[in-house]
Amino acid sequence: MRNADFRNLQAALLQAGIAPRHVQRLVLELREHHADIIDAELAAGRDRKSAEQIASVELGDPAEIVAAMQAYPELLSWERRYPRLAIIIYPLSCLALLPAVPVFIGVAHAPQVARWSVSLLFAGLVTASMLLLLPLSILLT
Amino acid sequence: MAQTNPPFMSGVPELLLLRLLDKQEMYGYELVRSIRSATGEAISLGEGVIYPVLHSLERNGALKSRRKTVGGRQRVYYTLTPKGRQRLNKLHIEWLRIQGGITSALESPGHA
Repeated sequence: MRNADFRNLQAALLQAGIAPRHVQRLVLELREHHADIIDAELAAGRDRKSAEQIASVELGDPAEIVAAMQAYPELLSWERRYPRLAIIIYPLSCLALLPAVPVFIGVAHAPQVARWSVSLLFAGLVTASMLLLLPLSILLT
Repeated sequence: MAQTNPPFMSGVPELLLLRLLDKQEMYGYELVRSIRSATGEAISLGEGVIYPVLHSLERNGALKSRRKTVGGRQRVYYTLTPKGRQRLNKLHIEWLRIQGGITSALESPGHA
């Protein structure tokens, strides 16, 4: 299996609904396992190409690995395990939390918000004073 | 390539993995090799298929895992938890029961 094959396997696992943390770890384990088989075959006197071929065969068909992961519901992502929750309740709770987002952002970035507020206030004062001075200067000239 | 095992073997990989991990912590490749040698190559698993079993056992609290870098390689080592030991005992008893039943059926051909 080449790097591209592992990437394809990773994509297939995610598409099959396997939880990302299991996918990440599984791919790491399979890569290491593949490398271990190659090392063992090289140590047994095979050339690299044959060792890689043997490693790929022994690791198994990627489709079988995906199917084996899918056979355990506990390894699926929560969206796959609770589709109703993901489709209805999750978006609704996000919608309900939406008005609170500016408040959270404001709290998290309080110094920047304070700076911007002072700048806006200052800019407003300058604009207002100029607007007041303009008719005054017309009247006086 | 060794022949893989038929569907009636389902549950056996779990029993073997728990049994091996009861002795010491191991990583996937080590486990596959140990199963092969411990069973005299009678049981040969599709090597990549062992990981779903390990992940599932860990998810159910029977195993614990930790990452360790050995010689520049990242290994995920698994160990048995007390819950895993209970599961192993249960599966072992179940296996002995089934094995006894099959042996007795095979030894008395009149009833087989």
